[in-house]
Amino acid sequence: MRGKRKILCVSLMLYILKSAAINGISTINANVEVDISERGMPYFDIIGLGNKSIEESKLRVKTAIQNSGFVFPNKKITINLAPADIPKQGSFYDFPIAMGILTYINNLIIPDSVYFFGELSLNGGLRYTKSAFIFTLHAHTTGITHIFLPESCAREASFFPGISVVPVTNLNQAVNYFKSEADKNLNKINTGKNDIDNKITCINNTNNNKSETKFKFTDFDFSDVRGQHQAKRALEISAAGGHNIILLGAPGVGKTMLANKYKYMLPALSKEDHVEVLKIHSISNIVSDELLKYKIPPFRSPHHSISYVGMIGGGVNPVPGEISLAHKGVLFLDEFPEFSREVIEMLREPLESGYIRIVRNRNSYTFPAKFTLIASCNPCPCGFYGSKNKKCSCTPRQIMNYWKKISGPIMDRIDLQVRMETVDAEDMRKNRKKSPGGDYSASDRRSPEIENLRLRITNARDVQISERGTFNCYLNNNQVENYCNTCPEGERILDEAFIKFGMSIRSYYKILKISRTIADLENSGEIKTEHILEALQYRINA
Amino acid sequence: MFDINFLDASDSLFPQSLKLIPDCPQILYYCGNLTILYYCGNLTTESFGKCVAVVGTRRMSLYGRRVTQKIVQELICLGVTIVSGFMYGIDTTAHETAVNCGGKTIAVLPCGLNDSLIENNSDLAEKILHNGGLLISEFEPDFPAKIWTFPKRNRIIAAVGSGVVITEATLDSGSLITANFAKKYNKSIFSVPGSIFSEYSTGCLQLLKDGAKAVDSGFDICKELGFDPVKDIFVFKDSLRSKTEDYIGSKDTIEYKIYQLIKDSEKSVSELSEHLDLSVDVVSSKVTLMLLAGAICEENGKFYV
Repeated sequence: MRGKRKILCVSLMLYILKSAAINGISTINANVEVDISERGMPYFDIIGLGNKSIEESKLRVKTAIQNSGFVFPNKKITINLAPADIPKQGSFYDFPIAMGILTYINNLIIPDSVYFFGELSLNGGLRYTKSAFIFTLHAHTTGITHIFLPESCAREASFFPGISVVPVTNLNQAVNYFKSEADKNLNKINTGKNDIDNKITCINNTNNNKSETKFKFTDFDFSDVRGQHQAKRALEISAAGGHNIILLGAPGVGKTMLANKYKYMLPALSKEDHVEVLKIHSISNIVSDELLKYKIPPFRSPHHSISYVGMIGGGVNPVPGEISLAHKGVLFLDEFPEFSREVIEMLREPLESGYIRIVRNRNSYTFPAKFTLIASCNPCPCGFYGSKNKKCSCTPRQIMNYWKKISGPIMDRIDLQVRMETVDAEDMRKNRKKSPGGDYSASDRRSPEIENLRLRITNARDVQISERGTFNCYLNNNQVENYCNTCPEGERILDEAFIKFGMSIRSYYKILKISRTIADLENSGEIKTEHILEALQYRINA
Repeated sequence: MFDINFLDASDSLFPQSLKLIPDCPQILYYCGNLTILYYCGNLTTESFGKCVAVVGTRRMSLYGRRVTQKIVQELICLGVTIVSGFMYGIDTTAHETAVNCGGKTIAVLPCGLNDSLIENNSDLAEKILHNGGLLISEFEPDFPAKIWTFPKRNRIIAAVGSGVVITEATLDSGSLITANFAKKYNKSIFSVPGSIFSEYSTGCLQLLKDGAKAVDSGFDICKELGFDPVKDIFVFKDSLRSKTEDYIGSKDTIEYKIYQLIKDSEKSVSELSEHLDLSVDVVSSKVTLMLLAGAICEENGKFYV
């Protein structure tokens, strides 16, 4: 008799909820095991290599349950996050832990194909929790049918077909959903479930509607940056071929404004890219609507005080850095030479390979980091070297030291260079007069409409992928020889320029790559003379 | 780094021009072709006699650079040796232009000939020597540059040249010290006028007020100094000009319009495309062609004739 009861006890009081653990930017299956034992002194503990926020989860869970109107069991409660040898972080285990305990309190029946995700507030409500996307992605691949998460996370999670996202505002709602029919009739609270069902349909509706609201790219065209036609053109070439670019100019000429618009020129992310980018972003912060709904490539512009861990990623449990957040998008480094030398040098390998491998004592992590670098800098520390209107107050030595911070290997990885000039007041006035409704034809060619620009860039990118399998910026020297076939006249000009401008072999290949992109923009199979002539204007001569 | 030799003031090869000044250096360290220094100022000989110092500010504007390039080019064409101080800015431009035109140039250093100052710009030093030029200094080879060595070296620059041209200088520029020495040694002082509103040209303006001769070309200088009856001056002028004008051709071409726009003031591609109402790709390729043909020059992304 005694033995039998013991077995019964054990089988009833252990609740296992499925969940996942995030490791780098990948996920693995994890279980939240909740054991409630009659024996021993009352206590409540969590094991399974959780970090501080998981340790503190105890107090949140206990208070939230009590504040939701339930009596917290005065038992020996042990929570295990399995597998026990993998470190876990994040506050999203609050919800499954609480549901485990509530199952005991309310005799709930929770099916095997359900995930809980979210952080608890002390009043029993659920708060926005990051990494909802990657969590749902994991659920999607492991055959989960329902995922319960905070209402504010539903936007990110409702991405995959075949998995129902159930937004929940508080614990009571979730409990009501799983109460057995008999219990519900008993207590006459049936409304909870209907609520949730309504919400599910609501969410699905918004998902279907998303194709209808189009992103207004016209809000982001180049028209509010006066002049700077060459820089605009160079950015177009950079966007078309993925070339890294450096913008040089005095303060206030519009470097930052132009760079900020860059992402709107890029074609929308493909499906696979979109998922990959969302995965990285969901781990780090709130996912923006632009990225989630409109698939606009990410644009990251960290301040120059950034540490190297912030730039390439890292930490005890490594998280992706800025270069990974810029994956498939743009990394804009304003005031490039002001970044610490260490940080700048760290960019070398990712710029070449398109990923970064971070090794910490427990494990090694690989984060993707295929981005286009836009660097901007002043021509000298005071910013006015070579400026028409202001006198530069730097000594030649200061200027040399300023440029020395950007080492050769980094400059080698930058294909395009543009100098930007202060626009004359007169030119600016002329421009302003012209723009409202006036004669667009000429200025349109210089400041092209964003839709046309996007179309040209998309076409050029498609050509590159279909013909060469990669963007022009990633072509190696052999591929350049194969794909960049020039007309004889162009070849002669290139040789002439090679001598005249004292170019290196490397810059020779860079010019060919840029010419290739310019030709692609015009949908020309062969690189023509004028393409090479134009490319020569963007050569790096620092 | 280089083979350094030295000369005693009593040596028969010691340049005459230096012997004439009151605080003549006792020892002169040199490296390169000493002959050009020996004959400096001696206009009776066939070669090497003509020598002019071209100096100016370290922080130059594009205007200063253009002026220096133009004047040095013309002087070299007329067979003049250029003396300058091997520092950044105008000095370096003067040496570089001289070397690029295949001319001879003398660099007077404010430090020993083994100092890091030369190493920083060793390309230029090598080019100077390669072209039959000369590096000189009154300081022993390992002597570092000090604040006081610069004005001291300026007196040698002033003494060696038959005249001194200041192409661009602010009021606090060291080239005014050179001009002062030149005045003391009774040499001609030439100054290139700039805009009266330009901060870069204040020194040159002051020199003009004090009686320096305003010049706008190397020919003016040669005429003033009484170098060779400048018989071939028009040929030279042609040889300098023709490149640009030949290239530009008829008035209808874009090249001609570009030339008209940048004739007076330098312009960038963006500005050109704005003024010509043409797209950047067209302007860029035209400009590159003109650059390759040597019809125009470029500096910091701006084009000029």
